[in-house]
Amino acid sequence: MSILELKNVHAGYGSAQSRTEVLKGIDLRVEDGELLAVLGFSGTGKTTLISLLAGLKAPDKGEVFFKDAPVTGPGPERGVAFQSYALMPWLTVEDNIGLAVGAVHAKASRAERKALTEKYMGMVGLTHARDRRPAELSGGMRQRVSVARALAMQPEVLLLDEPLSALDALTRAKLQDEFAEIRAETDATMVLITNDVDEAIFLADRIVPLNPDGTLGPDYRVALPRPRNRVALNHDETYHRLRGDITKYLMEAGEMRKARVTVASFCRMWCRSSPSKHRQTRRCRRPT
Amino acid sequence: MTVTLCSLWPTLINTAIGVASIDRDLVNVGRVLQLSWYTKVFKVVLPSALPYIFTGLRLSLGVGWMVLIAAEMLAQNPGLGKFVWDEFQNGSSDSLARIMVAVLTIGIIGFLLDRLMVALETAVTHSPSR
Ligand SMILES: Nc1ncnc2c1ncn2[C@@H]1O[C@H](COP(=O)(O)OP(=O)(O)O)[C@@H](O)[C@H]1O
Ligand SMILES: [Mg+2]
Repeated sequence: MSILELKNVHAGYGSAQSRTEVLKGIDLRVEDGELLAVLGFSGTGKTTLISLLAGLKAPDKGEVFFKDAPVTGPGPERGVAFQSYALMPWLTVEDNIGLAVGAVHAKASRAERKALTEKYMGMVGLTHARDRRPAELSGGMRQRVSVARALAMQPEVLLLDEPLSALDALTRAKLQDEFAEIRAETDATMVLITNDVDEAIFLADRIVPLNPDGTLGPDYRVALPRPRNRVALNHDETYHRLRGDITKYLMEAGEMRKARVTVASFCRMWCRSSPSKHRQTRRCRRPT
Repeated sequence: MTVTLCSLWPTLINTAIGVASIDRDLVNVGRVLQLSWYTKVFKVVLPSALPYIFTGLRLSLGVGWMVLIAAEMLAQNPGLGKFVWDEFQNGSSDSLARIMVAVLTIGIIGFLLDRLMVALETAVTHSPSR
């Protein structure tokens, strides 16, 4: 059964004149219990995709389904960890996580809520920093709070928007290991947005590239046994082939984008060189 | 009455700006969590808008203090404003000195009121530097 489904979804920003189409004709099924990684260059519309899945943004065309029912808005059953962390700067670590616990488990007793907060704070190893505010935390710690808050919603689907992209390589590797552990502990479906091929292969069951033109690439199944070991993977034949394939695909998709940019700049030059026609040829600015 | 009317606007406008400029992602967090109205206002909107509201209040206080003195001068209520006005009309040799003292007092009181507001602000709001 697919838990989340996008059917021929188009999405963009702005209206009429200044309109930019970001996603075009997206068809995507997220299967129950899988970890799906969406891989793409920055600015290709990954955050837009997450907003659509979360119900924070309505598609311009097409439909989004959650468990076969149309999505009309956001809800805690689809937990989101935002790219910018989005922690309340005025709340401590404990209160930030507690805010989610209180909202989602409103009927639980005070003690139960406290226990839940403790549990998720412990899961990401932040019990010692419970009284600190986001400004007093490192990037990695903020990221952990953001993930703990999403986990505390006990969502059916966890939407993770580039959770590790803003971190340094070492912290990143460490948090990837933690993610794999959390993944083993909770069996929620996860959609992981990332721009790192290795991270995607290390964590995901399935990888879908998002092309710069706003369409989805082919599926790549990651048939590697779990738990995965970073060092062992380095000598794994399947891993290397997969990595090669995906990288090649992304590079070619990137080349296509570059080619289009060249066409665009040529068109712009032409517009500028013929000022009399300039007004009528505004369309020139967007050749695609 | 005049004082209230004149000094209301900075607070009002700043509050509106403060509420309008809440981080979109924080609002989205609230939407995903489906926070109740009460939680949304007290845990998200107010803390985020408080620095703006306080800036508005400080401006209001400054304007209010000025208008208060001016109103005293015109309406002849007893107070610092009336004192300055009377001394001005009086025109004796040491009235200039008295006016200077009064003006300084007005300034210092205004300054102290502002500091009081800042102290209150740091006590109540979150600030990233703290
Ligand atoms: N709120 C917005 N208003 C206008 N344009 C936007 C908005 N959000 C994103 N965009 C544009 O949509 C494109 C995709 O953005 P985004 O989904 O954030 O990409 P990614 O997360 O992959 O980096 C970008 O070109 C960006 O400029
Ligand atoms: Mg993004």
